[in-house]
Amino acid sequence: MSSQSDRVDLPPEVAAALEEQRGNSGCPPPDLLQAADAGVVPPEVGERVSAHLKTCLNCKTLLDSVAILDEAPLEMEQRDRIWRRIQAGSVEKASPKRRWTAWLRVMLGPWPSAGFAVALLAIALGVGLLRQRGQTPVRPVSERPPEVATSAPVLPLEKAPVVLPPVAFLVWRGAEDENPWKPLQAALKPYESGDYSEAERRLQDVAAKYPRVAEAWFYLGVTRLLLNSNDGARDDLEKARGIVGPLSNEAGWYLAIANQRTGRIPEARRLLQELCTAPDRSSKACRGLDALTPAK
Amino acid sequence: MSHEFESVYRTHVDAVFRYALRLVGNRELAEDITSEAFVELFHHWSEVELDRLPGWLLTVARNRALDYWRKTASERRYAECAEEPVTSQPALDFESWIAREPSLKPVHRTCLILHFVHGMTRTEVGERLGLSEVKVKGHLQYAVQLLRKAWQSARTGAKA
Repeated sequence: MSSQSDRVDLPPEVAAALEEQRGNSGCPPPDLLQAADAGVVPPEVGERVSAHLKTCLNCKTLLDSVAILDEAPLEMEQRDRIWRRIQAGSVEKASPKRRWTAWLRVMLGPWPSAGFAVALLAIALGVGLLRQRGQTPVRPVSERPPEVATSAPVLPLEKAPVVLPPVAFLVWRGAEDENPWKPLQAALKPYESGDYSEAERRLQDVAAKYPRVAEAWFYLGVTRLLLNSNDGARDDLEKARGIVGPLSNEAGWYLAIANQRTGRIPEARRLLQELCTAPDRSSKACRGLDALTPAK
Repeated sequence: MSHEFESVYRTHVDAVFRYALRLVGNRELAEDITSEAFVELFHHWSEVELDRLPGWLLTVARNRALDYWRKTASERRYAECAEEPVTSQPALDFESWIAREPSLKPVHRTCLILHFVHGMTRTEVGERLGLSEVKVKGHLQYAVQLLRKAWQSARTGAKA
């Protein structure tokens, strides 16, 4: 309910009239209203809400207005948050222990001794095969679970805005296939619209063709971080940082994130220390350094 | 990493989230349902044909929402919203004004109704709509300015 300090100022008579509206409305809670409209509540509740909607203009207005507002696209932060939950959920459900015990129950079911013997045989065969191959079987790409970060994220990852040097916008006087800026700008379009898989593919091509353009490696590295391909991101950002230019410091920040995510904490700290103590001191690097430094 | 799964996620997450939000009216819960739908997809990845998406995901989301409302005492919640006869006759018909005032956008109407009719705080309104409290305050202030003018016109008209 509203607190006094939270109330928007109204003339007293208007406030009183609105207060009375609220008390007498009989309107269902907004979430219940929407759910009833969507048909996911018990039938008796749905019928009551339908009857109410026939006479309540406020509820009709609310349903119509909220339907328009809820069409807004998801923010990147929200998409990332949901993705992290999916990763956590998929790992939890696929726990090897649960798979193993479920399998044993099936085998030991109606024929305990035979089932047990088969289980032992299968274990022996499986272990033998694994030792022979020297590696765990590789499932097809489409069946691989999403990669789970080896370290819990500590440094905040924000999508780097697209900023290209002024030369990218000048008329190119050389041979067209030597112009890196047009293909780079085209590759950054899916990056800007959030289609990171496509952005990764295109930026990889640009970086391979124009290896001395720091921006290509930089945005490829950031894209890979957003896709949680942290090892690949690390390589790209090291290349970006190795090309002297205006992106060196930003590349250093994102490289610190990649190092932290791949468990290279001392390297992450070293980079953050460098950025924090540089002449153009990076406050986010200083905060990151505090976050990574263990409390004494 | 499974690029294909990630690509499917990025293609359909907006639609699934919007649908879940419509079903439960709460952003945090809608995020939970959305992530559960994709986890289910992940575990049935080899069985689901991609051209059945996003329908398959929306069905999972709907089933989760049905479970949620079954467990929530929705009948009791609705019963708590008592309906009593209106005693006063204000000069301005608020319901009609909110619904028909052309200077109001959906965001203003929603903020007005959630704040004044349902008694939600600015923070709660912001959480529901995915807006900051400052933005909600701005929308409410704009709407209240219009409401004040309409109220004054209605009173002047009523007195005449």
